[in-house]
Amino acid sequence: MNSTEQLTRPKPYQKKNSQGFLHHSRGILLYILPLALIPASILSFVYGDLLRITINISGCAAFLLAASLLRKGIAAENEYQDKKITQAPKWPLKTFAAFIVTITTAGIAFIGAGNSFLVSIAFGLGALAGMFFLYGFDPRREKMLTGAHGYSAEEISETIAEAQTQINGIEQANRQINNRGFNQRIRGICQQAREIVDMLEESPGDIRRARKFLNIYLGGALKVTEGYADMQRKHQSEQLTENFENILHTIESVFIEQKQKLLEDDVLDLDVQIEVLAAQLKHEGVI
Amino acid sequence: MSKTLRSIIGLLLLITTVSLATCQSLYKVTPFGNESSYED
Repeated sequence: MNSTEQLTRPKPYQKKNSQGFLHHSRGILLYILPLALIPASILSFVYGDLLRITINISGCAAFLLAASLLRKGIAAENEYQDKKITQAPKWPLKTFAAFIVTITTAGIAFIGAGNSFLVSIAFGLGALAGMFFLYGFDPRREKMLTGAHGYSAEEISETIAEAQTQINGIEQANRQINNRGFNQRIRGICQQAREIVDMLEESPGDIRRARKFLNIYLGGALKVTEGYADMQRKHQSEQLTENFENILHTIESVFIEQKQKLLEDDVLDLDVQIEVLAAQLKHEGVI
Repeated sequence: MSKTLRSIIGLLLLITTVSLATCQSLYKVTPFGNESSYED
């Protein structure tokens, strides 16, 4: 991948997770519990017992599948819990895993271990209860904060994710710029932008203004930074540097004011500013 | 029921049922578990 491609494709934003080992190892148990089925499968081969070969191997595979689904379900649940606004995970993976464990345990108890039908059902139900008590149910409700002004959780979380991707893009382009002064100022702009996005996540009532902010300010900042990074590699020009400096100055002040206005809940003033900046960016040929 | 208690009950239930079923299945394929059919 060359540097131009890197500039045009910002990495999606990924929140850093600082949870401990115990948290990350949730769901590992299902990989360990069916280990006895491996020697059982080998011995079934040794004695040439086709029925037990089938049940032990397929049981082992089913437990591994359930473990994998469970881990994915837990990861989706963690992501859901981390976000203030989000939709429920698309598939109830933990529930799928619980049912696979139920059927497999009952099947192994009945065919593999030779228990009676009712005892095998009891094994299955015990495993099902264990799965639900230990790992719980999948979250099914979309998380919404009050005062979202008719915007759905999906629209809000998409808007926030898009903003974070744009900020990543600006940071990525900043790494291509060989000017310490600019680098520092762009880092400051990104910091302000992240704070604004955090504020929007806290208070989605501002989402209407957020959309304007993202489309004009953040989109504009991304375009100019990428454009400058690209142009300065090809040829250095004083005029270009001066124009970029002017735009950076405008963006910096506007970002600080934007944050202040969001804090003050000053809708009208903000709308006027947005129009002014949009006009300036248009004048500079950015949008 | 507190979350910890629920998790402990769940852990015990899951370990008991799954490991018991799989270990019984292993035992059944050893010569001790099914002497009549495998030893002949």
